[in-house]
Amino acid sequence: MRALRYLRRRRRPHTDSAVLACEAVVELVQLYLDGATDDLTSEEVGHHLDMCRRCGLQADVYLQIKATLAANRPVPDDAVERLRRFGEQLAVHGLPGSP
Amino acid sequence: MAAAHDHPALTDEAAFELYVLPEVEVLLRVALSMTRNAADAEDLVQDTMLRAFRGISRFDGRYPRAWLLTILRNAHVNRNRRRRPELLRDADAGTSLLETQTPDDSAEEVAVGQTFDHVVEDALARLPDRYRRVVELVDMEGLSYRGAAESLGVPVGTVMSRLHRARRRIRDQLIASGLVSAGSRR
Repeated sequence: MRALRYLRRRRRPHTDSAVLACEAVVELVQLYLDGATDDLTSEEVGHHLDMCRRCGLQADVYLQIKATLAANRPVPDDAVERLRRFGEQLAVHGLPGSP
Repeated sequence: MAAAHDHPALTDEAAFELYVLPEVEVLLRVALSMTRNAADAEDLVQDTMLRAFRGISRFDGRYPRAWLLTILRNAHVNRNRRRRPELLRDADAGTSLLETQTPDDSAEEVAVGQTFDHVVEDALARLPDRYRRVVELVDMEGLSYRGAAESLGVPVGTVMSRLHRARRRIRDQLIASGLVSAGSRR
């Protein structure tokens, strides 16, 4: 995708070559949260969101919007059941291997 | 162990049950959308729950969903990193923010709850039809970009630009309502 290649070139100068600039991340963050970026781009965007509070906050707002919009979407019952059981085990017994 | 959350009498285990378990479905929906893969999504939510359990004693009980979604995002970064070990720069980098901020540090700038949902719904209703339709297909019905493009008979690029613009408008509405800090505005 041409736009992505363009953005990937616009890195922050004089820093780790794998650190994307905020302006590039702003363009990529929604693709990243939709699981639509390739592995390398996901790694770079994720790394940036980890390190940059402003971009991280923005990503969190988009995640919350997604969570609200998806509220009525069906989820696989068996997965929910397994995760609930996992959670209940945690709540009752604590972390595996801890006293 | 006694905890910092709203109910000092709660054990960490009880707090986990109160704040985390009710959000499992929400977390799974978001994880499915981020990973596009059922097994990865389930693993990601499991990771998130483990991290939440470890951090629950520092969680003050405000906006559990926002707190959990931030943890989910951090867990997702670490999973990507594990899949691509050749890119590993700092093994602990993925947890740095989570460890150094109080767990609700990001959540405090975003009030979540019924009001948040109402503003999102209202903003959605105000969108032009062509934008709203894309949000409905992708975010509400769970179609991929390609699936939405086929359903609407438009190119994938059009779906992406409409969807992203639509969500940006929803976020602007949240900022205008004071529910989201303008600090997250660009």
